[in-house]
Amino acid sequence: MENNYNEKYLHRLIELYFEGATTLEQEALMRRMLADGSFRSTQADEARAVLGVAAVLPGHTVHAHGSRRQWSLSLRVAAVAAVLITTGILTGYFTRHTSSGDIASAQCFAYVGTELVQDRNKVMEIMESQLADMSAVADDVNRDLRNTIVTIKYSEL
Amino acid sequence: MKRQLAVLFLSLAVAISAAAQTGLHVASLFTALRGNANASVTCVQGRALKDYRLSLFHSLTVENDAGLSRMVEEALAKDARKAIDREVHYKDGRLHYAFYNLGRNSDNLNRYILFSGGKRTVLIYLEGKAGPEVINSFFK
Repeated sequence: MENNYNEKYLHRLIELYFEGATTLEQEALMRRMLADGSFRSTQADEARAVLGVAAVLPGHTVHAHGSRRQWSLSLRVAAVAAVLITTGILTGYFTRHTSSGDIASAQCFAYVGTELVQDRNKVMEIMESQLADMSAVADDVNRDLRNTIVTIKYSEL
Repeated sequence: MKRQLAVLFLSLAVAISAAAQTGLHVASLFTALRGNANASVTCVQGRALKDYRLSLFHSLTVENDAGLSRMVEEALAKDARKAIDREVHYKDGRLHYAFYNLGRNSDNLNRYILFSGGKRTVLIYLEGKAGPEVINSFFK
């Protein structure tokens, strides 16, 4: 029973080891348990094969090569890189989306020719004036459209 | 390991999505024409637009510069291809007025472009929660 419990614990250590999640003490314990020939499960044998028989003997500090531990580490590095790239893109997006670098924090600005206007009330006036001008053009277009429809109707009579 | 894979894929998905949002050709003009003597660029965003149910108002006006006006019209024509709805009027062979609904972006915000041409070229880009009927009400 105790051997079964220890074997389960060894398997758990092996899982953690290949996930790159063991502490130094846990790794040392795992190596000692693997060096003890009494644990003969498939998982233990695979771990011995990956780590190398010599590596599990006391006094050896050879690291496993081509192991899942390196793959797990590469994955962690890739995940961190992806997060950094995303942060960089999002920062660039919000900076571009807001304004140029020097007035990136402003929510309200206008360039009238070469003059920069940052007074909120003046900028809102400019905005409303432009919306009003666009509205006037839309009105003209709708009026022309209505006149055209009326002309067509009369021509059909 | 599953958690690491999930972080990796989620981060890549967000990155790709973020990069795709800025794909409008007119967007580069708002930056490029700032400080140009023949152009005016206005940007308003955030709480100032709350009453309009918008989050971004970006406009540019070009006067007395046929080359710049043509550049604006060409950028608009490229973005107009993505429109899901449009109202377009020509006068004397030139684009006189246009209203384009570009649909929603990945932030679920509606996007519109309004244009008026002639002696003065005006292009307005709007982004926000306002539906097309609200935008139309600004102009009728």
